[in-house]
Amino acid sequence: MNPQNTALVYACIALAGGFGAVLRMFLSDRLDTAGGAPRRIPLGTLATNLVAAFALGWLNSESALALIGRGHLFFALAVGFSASASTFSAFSFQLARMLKFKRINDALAYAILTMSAGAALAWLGMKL
Amino acid sequence: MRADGNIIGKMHSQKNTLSDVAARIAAVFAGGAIGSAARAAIVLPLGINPLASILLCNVLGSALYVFAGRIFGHKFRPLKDFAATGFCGGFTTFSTVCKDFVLYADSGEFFCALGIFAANLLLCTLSVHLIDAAADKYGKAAR
Repeated sequence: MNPQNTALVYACIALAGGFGAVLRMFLSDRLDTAGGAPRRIPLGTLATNLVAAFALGWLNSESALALIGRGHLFFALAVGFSASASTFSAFSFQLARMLKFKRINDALAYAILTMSAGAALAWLGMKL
Repeated sequence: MRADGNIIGKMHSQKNTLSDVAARIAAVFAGGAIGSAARAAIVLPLGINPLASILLCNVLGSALYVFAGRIFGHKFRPLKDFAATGFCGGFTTFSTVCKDFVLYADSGEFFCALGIFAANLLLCTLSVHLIDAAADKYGKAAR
């Protein structure tokens, strides 16, 4: 990649990453609570992580690569949007909080659900 | 705030004006853009192990997430949105970990795939716990 091209790639990633972060914020705000009270499992963070895992899986599938290739659009959607829409920081923070307040069953359920469903959806996306 | 320390319920009980929402979107967008670009700057250059670099981003981002939450709290809400929700959320990634897991599992390296998951999960949760515990112990948080 020449420097100009590299700068454009990073600009695409940053722009798409910003939109991914805003989408994550909206979903977390809407779904992590129910009637103002936090849910036992933060569904907003779970939903964004699972949707993003599926999207990144699909972006790495043969059908997606045939459609969009590995150019700027791929970097914007895969490294920018999909990766930014998902988060490990909020996920690990929520897990650590559950463990801190002895909600062991919630923590286990949340971790297992997130990891297994995330992997399954990424695999499904890659096979489409 | 509930006894379990989750602040989201309190956040929702506050009435937000349109300008508050716009400021929040702008802060999260800017943080997410910078966080994504910073992650890409670590992960994309050739010669750096992608698994290790994603793990590094996730561990650092998780620790910074707690730190930003403790430092900014509710008093500096736009800064917290920028740093925690935006930057740390954009800097860390769950979807890439899932993609790497599937790629390794598909190629028959199932233990390596499980190791990726386990290392991210354990080290990120541990980093959050350590920062949280340090903030509790030394009482330097500005909550």
